[in-house]
Amino acid sequence: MKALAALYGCSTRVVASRARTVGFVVVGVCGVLVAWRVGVSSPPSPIRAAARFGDTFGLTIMAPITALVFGTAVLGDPVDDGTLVYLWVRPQPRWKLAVGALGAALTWAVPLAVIPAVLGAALITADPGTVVAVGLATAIATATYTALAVLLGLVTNRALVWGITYVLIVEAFVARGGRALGSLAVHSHAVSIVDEIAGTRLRLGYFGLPTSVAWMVMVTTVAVGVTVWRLGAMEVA
Amino acid sequence: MSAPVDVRSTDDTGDPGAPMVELTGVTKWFRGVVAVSDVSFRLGPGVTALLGPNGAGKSTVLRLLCGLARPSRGTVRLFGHDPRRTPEVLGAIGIVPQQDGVLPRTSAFGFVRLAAVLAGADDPAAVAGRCLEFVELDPGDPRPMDELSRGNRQRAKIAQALVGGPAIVVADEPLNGLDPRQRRRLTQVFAQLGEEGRCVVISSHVLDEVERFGSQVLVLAQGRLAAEGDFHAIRDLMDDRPHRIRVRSDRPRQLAAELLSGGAVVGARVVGEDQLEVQTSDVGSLGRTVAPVARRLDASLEEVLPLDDDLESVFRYIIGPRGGGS
Repeated sequence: MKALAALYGCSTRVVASRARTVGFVVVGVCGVLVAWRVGVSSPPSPIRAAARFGDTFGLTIMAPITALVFGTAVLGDPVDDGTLVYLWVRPQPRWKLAVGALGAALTWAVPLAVIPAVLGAALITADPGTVVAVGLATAIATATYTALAVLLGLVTNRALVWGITYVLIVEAFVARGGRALGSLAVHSHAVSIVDEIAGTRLRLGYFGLPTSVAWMVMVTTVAVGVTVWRLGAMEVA
Repeated sequence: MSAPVDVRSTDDTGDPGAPMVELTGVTKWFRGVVAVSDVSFRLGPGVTALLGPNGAGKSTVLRLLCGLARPSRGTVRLFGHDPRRTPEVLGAIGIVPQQDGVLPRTSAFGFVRLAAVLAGADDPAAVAGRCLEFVELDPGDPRPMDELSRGNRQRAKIAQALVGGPAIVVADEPLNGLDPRQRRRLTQVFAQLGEEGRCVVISSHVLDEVERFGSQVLVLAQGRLAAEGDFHAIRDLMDDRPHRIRVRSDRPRQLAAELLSGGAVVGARVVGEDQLEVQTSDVGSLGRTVAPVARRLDASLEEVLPLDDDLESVFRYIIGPRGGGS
């Protein structure tokens, strides 16, 4: 546990950056202001409006972008600057490095994505179920995206570019092509969670709650597993 | 520093009689470019200098040795284990990489303590403090490493390599960025580690300092092992290169003529009023001849000094236009 905690602490410092944090706080504040404006405009269905806000702001913008920024950096930066060697050339199982890095990226990405999404939803509706749904879906989606981003940061040195390309093509475009294509996207499973808990019928909400949660847990687990394998198989500069 | 780690006592899957480091027929290529070709050597306790010009493959050999890279062909064994298949053996290695990058927002103490935790030290803070003091850094310095001088960062990198008392210490250009006093100090540190029974492998292009580490060298040229062993012995084996000897005498011209006519030297050059530089392919024969000749000529003999028995000359010969052979 000492080694895991040390790797987590080290990885947390790797991704900590005032510029990143301030940037996401500013975007979060903007989102909350928009939600406040929606809330005071008395929408006909505050629950649906809050769920749509969660989909558009929490799941489409904050979850993938925070995950990409922090997830790709947590192992990608040490690979790029050559400091991974200090963590790699030690008699520790690779899963500790992967899990420590994922935990560190989540420490930054989840609060920065979830807090403004939840605050915004709460400013639009007083329904606690909807607010919880938005928060839970954003948290799970951020975790899944982050696991994929950590892996991406390890396999390519242009991880951010490839990640944004993936989000724009698969998550924002392909997922809208129906249930079969939507099953490939984290976004549609996350929207399904909001739908199931809040009782709304949003576009892309194709799946049931157990299916969506299980799918995202499985994707996260596979991504961590491949990251562990990759750490063992890779060559370190 | 604590006693060397005996990996043989902690892992029973390797060959107990295996050398500390063994590379056999190792070749490494990157996208069709051969970086290292058919390199084989065995290393035991002591300091070995890995020499070669830029691009010779030194860093690649060190990365292969530590398991950081996988050989395209051949095998790498540390205490009989493949370091890429047996991560436990990595506990026996301390590595000082060449790159200057350091962990962000981390003090030298935090950096070395992290290494101690990952090495499995019981009291990482105490180990970190000892290792930093060993390289003459202040464990209480709170500044992050990217605010330290390059020399101090280099020393912190060396300190992290020493946690856990590694049996094998691998350092890639460890003297870069250090001032002369620090260089002297770290040269002593590496020599001490070698004397303690550790296998210390150091790549460097600063030959006069490498010479102080000891006389064991591995010379790489164009990805191949060009020479291996004691560089004095390597020099002696280079029969096709006449040895240059400086002789100081009050009658250098007469001495040169006599030595040339007697066949003891193959070339001679008078330098100034009291110096003679001769070339001979048989140093022993010259040594036996020069004193009697001087006595016969009634000439003084103040100095007989080999000019190319140093590491730099050997290195220059090996990697020079006509060099490259084992």
